[in-house]
Amino acid sequence: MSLETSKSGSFTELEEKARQIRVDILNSIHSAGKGHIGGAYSIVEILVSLYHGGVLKYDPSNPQWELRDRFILSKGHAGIALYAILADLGYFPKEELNFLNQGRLLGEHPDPRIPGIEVLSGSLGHGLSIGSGMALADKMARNFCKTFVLMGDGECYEGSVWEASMFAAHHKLHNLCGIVDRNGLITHGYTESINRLEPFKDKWQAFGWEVFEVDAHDLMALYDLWRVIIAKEYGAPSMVIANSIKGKGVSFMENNFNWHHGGIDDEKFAIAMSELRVSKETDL
Amino acid sequence: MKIDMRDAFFNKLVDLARLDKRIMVLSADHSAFALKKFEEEMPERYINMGIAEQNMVGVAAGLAASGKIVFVYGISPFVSLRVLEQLTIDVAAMQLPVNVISVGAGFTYSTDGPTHQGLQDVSAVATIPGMTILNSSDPINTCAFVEMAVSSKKPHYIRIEKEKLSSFDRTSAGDDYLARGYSILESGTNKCLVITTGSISHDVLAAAREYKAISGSMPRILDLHQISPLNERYLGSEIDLSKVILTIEESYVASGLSRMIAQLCISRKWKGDLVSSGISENYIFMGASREELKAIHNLDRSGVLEFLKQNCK
Repeated sequence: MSLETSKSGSFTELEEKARQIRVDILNSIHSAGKGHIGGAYSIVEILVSLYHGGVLKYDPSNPQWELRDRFILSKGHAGIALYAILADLGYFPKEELNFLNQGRLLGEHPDPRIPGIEVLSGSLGHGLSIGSGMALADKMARNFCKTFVLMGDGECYEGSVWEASMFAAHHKLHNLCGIVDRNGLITHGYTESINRLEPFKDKWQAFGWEVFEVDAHDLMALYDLWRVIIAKEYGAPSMVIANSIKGKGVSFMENNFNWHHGGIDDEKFAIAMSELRVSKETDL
Repeated sequence: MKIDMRDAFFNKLVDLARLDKRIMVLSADHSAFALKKFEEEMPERYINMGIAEQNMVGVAAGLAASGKIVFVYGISPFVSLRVLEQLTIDVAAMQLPVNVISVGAGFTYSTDGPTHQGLQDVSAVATIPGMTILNSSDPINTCAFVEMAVSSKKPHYIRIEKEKLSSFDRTSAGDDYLARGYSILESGTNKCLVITTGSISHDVLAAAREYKAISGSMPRILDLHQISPLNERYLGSEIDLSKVILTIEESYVASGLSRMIAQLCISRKWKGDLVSSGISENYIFMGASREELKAIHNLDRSGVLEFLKQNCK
């Protein structure tokens, strides 16, 4: 969809896309019996704005297109959110979403057998290094490809993240953009009460990144930010601290670490569906 | 003529990199004389990553996923144990052309204690499916490993030595020894098969020749360079033809070469005597020369000779 022609109209479309993606995620996890729904819901607008906002260059009919931009979901446990996006784009049949973790294409964590998935993820703290290597290769080739790496905030406890952060800043990987889904929650509680991450922005700045903060659910703000980042032709790598709400979109899941991972019964499923304004037949 | 094994490896790599612009080297702040040549000639394709091995392997995977053929270089424990997960997930699971150059086999860093010993690296990396482990024993196979790594575009863990070694006479090895995964250094005159790997093969061969001078019989000496995956077809035939198998390794016997050979023997329902020589002590804190530490563990030439005298039948 073209955002340039009708910005306000397109944002309505993007909002509708985000809602539909949440419905797809919920259906998929309900059919699987359980899943990582909280951290999938916190990144929906990030993914929608990247894939549908004219930011990433990609070709669903040729996932290995050499000049594509790279997107790495380093917080692999949110794989279902990316699957919903990729299925919607036609990387694989949408029907596969109904068979999450049921011995077919889609498992809990992304793997490179799946069209559109760049790397195997699931163990945290790997993506930023791999993305740095990809960005370096693009920089060496002097092409204009970008690499985006989406991490969880809890992932930033891993020391390897900071090894990568030093490397990317030292090598001025301007074509690399890290994104941290800053929802403030890990599996068993709040990051700030378990092992403090703040002052988080200062840490990334001290490591030599150009740091941006954004509301992870504000599509217009995300759209404007991506424009700034993809226009960069030199300088420091970009880090986007995306302040998000875990479980965003369903009231009883929001900011509740109990919804990091788990099952959803039929009653809760119905409530969630109603909150997601499921009325059209196509949603179900 | 003895050649520094690092020079053998990196000179060959420089030769290939001049022709193939995809080749890159990442180093965990570790150097070698011949590697300097790579750095000076092709600075844009050489990166000192600092002391950050996990990031080094991850970056290598990203480069490899973008079309590069990457060699990462460091001391054995730091490019194996420390990065076991990166090698598994980022490299082997995706079958990317990332090749680890691991220096420090056995007691190479003999005065540096357990943190620097290479007694566990092979057994750890051997747990990674899809990762080929090559252990160099002379300048000839060291150079060949570089070509194998570049041409196959698959992941490799390559052990190189930092000492000077001479080349074996591979007359008995056969033309296809590289593909077979091992060389026969002596054909043998009895039913005893000695399986060894790495630089200690030189001690084993010398000891076997002494043993022959004393006993009049020569065991079959097998220098195994491809430790994982084992070439079960050919190695199995070697096992089947033997009555006694002796393994000699400069690593932990409980998890290293000995265990792998034992597993193969069991799978073939082989009936014979398998005796192993290697490191059985848990942690070796003593700092001494490599030869002294090998002697303490009966892995020097005289220790191997005694082992042959006791077990070679």
